[in-house]
Amino acid sequence: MSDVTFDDRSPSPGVSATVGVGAIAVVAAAFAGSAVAVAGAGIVLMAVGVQGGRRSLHTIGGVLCFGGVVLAGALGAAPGVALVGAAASVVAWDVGDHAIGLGGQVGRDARARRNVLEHLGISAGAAASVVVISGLSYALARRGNPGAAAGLIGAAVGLFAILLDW
Amino acid sequence: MSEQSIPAAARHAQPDEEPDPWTEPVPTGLRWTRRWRGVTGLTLLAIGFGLIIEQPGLLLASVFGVAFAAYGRLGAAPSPALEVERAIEVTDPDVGEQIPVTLTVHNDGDGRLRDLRIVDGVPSGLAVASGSPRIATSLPPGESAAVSYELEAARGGHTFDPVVAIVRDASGATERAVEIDAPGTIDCVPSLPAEPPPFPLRPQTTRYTGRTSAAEGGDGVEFHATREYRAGDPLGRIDWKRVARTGDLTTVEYRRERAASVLIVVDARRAAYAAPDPTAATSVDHCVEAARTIAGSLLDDGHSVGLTALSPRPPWLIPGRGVQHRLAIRTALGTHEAFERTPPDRSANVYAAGREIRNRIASDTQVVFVSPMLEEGASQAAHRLDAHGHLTTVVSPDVCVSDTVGQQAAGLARSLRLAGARQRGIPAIDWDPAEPFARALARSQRRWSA
Repeated sequence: MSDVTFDDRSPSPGVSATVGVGAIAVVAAAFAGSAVAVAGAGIVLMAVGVQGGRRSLHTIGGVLCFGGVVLAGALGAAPGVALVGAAASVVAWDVGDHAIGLGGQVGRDARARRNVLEHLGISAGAAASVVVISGLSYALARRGNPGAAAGLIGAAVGLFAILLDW
Repeated sequence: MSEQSIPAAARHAQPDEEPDPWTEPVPTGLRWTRRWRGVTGLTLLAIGFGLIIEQPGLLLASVFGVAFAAYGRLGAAPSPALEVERAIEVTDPDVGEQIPVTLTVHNDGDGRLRDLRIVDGVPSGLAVASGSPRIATSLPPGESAAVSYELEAARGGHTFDPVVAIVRDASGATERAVEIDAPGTIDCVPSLPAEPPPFPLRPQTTRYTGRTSAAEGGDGVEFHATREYRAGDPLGRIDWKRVARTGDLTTVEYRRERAASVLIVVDARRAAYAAPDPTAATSVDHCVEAARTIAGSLLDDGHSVGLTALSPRPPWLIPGRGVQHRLAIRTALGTHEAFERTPPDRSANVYAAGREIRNRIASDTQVVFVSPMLEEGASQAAHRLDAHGHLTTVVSPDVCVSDTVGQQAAGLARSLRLAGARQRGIPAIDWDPAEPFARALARSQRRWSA
């Protein structure tokens, strides 16, 4: 018999965190206008999806944002920039999805700022680690050791095969 | 508030109603959130694309995706060691009073709970007036987090459900929900009204002196009749003017004033529950409110008052008087399970309940039947009690609305039931809960005395 309606939209810090991190992906996709457009559309959809607690819209936005970075990479963007862009798009999606989950469980009116910021910090830290390791591996491979790159791809595919079982 | 017909409204009050998100139970235990599934699929696509077009940047970005998907598989949500404490500022509030509640959660464990979500077990019968009984936070070991909110008191005894704590691992891939007992109760027992309006009883009284005029002559105030003088009649009761005029000795009799014995029967059957919307007061809430006023009025007038309900879980208070009895009626109307907001799981047999009532009360006890009169069972209960010699008065809160043809039909059927009762000589007080009950009582007495 609650008088205060349960608002299952995401807590407001989730929106700003998503847009803030997603903006990095858009900047990374700036190698080509089409890539920026795709990534930008993705950010807008993600923001609207997080704001309204609509997971499907947010996911489409995340795919577009990642797709924009991939497009920039395909069109010849520097590998390092593409790597950072991909990291930003995944982290933006992750933070937005986390906020949508919070909306469903504790609602928009609950205090959630600390939780969102902590999750953002952890995800950003993990992403930064992956970016650094991947970048170093790539740099090593470019210095005349293509075996490292091949090994990296092999490890990635193997890891993915394991993930599929889950 | 969207108003609905009685049949549709009645369904709102049934147990299969749409769950209230404030009180909906959270599944406990460890589970995968599967939130990283899409990332792995997307990454596979990007890897394939990168291999085809042989772009190192794209390939590298894709490798990041795989690594991050794997990150989502690291670890599992920890088992939280939490201690919760709930401070309820007022545990015996008045109806409508705002009750500040503060829930404090303390991390007794050794590890940091990076993603902790707390949902307080708000009693299903209470409304959250302001704030939120939920919080999402991060809690280092030894630290506490508090959440404050306000509940709006509603009639009844309310027990808090366990607090639900949901913990996720750093990546959010797994979550573990646990329930933590945190006992807490709020008992909202409204007082009987201080100056209740007079309730129009029927002329069925006991042999005890009271304030209801009986249909017999004797001591009293109101003129009843004159009769031939009998030896022993007090001199003050002789009609001396008549003696002077005619020489005959006649004695004046006044209407005796007696106390009545009244049983208030509240219709709290499953079929009697209806509400315009899930958050509104139910018809049984209105019945209880009317019963409270009636009981207060009759007890103040010195009558014996009892209380029961047509319900599979009825309270039983045989008509009586006194401070203790008044308190017992007040408590029963406030917290007895028969008058809960949620309807009973099973229906009550009207005939069996009527038989039990007749068996339990004295033959000179009259009945006040408080019912929304939503279906025939209520009419029959009133008719049968009256027919068995317990003069019955029907008090009916009108919860019908008339937005659609079906709703109008339901309202019309209820009006016909009240008219049918009146045709049988049973007074029926029709009360629109939007107006004070006292006004409905005053209106009904005007009509009867006209």
